Amino acid sequence: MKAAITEWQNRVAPVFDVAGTVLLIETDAEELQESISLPSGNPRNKIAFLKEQEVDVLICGAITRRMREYAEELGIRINPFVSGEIDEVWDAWRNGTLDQACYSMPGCRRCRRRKGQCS
Amino acid sequence: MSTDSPATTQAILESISDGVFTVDDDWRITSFNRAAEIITGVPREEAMGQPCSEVFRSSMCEGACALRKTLETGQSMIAHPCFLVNAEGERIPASVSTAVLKDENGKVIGGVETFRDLSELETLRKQISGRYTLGDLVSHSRAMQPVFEMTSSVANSDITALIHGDTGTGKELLARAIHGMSSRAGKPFVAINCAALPDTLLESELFGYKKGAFTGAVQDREGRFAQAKNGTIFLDEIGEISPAVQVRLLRVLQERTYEPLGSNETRRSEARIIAATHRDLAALVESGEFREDLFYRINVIRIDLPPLRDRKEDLPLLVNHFIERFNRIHNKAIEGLSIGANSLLMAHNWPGNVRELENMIERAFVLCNGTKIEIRHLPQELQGSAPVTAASSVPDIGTARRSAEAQAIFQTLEKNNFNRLATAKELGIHKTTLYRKIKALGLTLPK
Repeated sequence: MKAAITEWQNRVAPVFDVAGTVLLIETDAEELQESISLPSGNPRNKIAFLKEQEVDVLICGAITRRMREYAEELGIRINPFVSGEIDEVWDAWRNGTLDQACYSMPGCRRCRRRKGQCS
Repeated sequence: MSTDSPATTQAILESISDGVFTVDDDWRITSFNRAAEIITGVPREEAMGQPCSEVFRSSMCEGACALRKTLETGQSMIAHPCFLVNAEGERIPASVSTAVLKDENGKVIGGVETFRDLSELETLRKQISGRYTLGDLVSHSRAMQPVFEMTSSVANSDITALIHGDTGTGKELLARAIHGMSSRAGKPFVAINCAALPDTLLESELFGYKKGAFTGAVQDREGRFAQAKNGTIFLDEIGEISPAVQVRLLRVLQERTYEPLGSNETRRSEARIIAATHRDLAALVESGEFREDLFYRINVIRIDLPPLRDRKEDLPLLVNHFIERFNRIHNKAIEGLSIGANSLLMAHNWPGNVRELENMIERAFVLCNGTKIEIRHLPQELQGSAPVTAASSVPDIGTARRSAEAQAIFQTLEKNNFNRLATAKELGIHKTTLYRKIKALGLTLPK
């Protein structure tokens, strides 16, 4: 399985729709792997690119609803509105603790605690 | 309470409709007003002390932070456009202004950002003068709004869609737009006009054939379904297909499988099907010409494209669109239509819809050597004095009358230097009748 985390300044990038860099990680690998540029412009191209890279799970910051639906339509599972240092977020995802409030963006904490995801 | 006390400042900040927040030198939020809470959907207690990019979540945060630029240069930024993503995942259009925040001794202690939610303004702007574009379709007509609204939903799904509209309304353009907005955008788009081919040829065209399947089949050939792969196949004029092809098509829709002519090998189709017709398929079902089961398979969701006569307010927009395009193609610099030519276009009934308009503008481009398309560059039938040579060129009586009337009124207006009273007198009609006719015919006069 392959996961992707949008990255900016060693944290999860604040907005997926304009994110420039993504880390691609084979989930059975011990350490974080390849960092690559995302296509600029239309955010749909970013999602199509991730699909081409055979990404199964996307961990990202804020994402517009339309892009989230598009990614899910292509079969990419989304963990949206995540915040924090990349290493910590990755460990939390592997340990199944990413739903904890401390990894949620401000304003999304209550709903993540309740349902595991925002909106 | 003095007017410059911190309490007053706080009260003012809380009462204004613009969002305001301040950050320290580590980009963490130090204050966050009520409007900021409403616009971003982030409660103040959750925003305080957090990195501003994770609270504000704007399109500028990562690469073009306005506040960073302000703190680096000392220059304020005013009304910089961007969008935010609120906690619900909604895209909020906004404008941002920034300034350096200093303490009472003039020492820089951070930055202040104010932002305004432009959602309502954006909606209003679209309502008032919005140019809606969808692929190559352009419109600001109310009649086209349901089309634009439905298209994105249809594009986001994989269901079979039926586009209904008169000839020339842009059915293929709409199908291409749906394909372009869908997740299949990078895949093939294959269009076929079912009415253009005889029955046997249509079958081999759609499904392909094996070598030796019929006389002349000297080698295997893949059909349009195979060419479409996992993209989109557009079946235009679906109402014209024979009962035999209807049966085969029904199987593709039900089971996603077919066999090329002369082959026992079953192929699977992953293509999304969009069909189109100008005919009333329900009536064809009623008369037994179209299979009911196929009709229900195709008519899962239907988009109706209105004829041009029902959205004449789009004429100036479409004319400009075609003029821009043909200027590029023909390397010309035509600026637009003369008032007279414009008036004739408004008076025409457009039985051939947008395609007729496009052809007319292209024809005018060939004839026009100046910067304005004049009445003389338009076809005879529009000028109201067409020599009737063939049944296809006969305009309906209403169109001919409107066209002749528009031309007579316009020429008299021109002759009288656009003096309405003198024009009415010369035409032998009352001034108010002239005003009524100008309005009804959509004549555009100089101010």
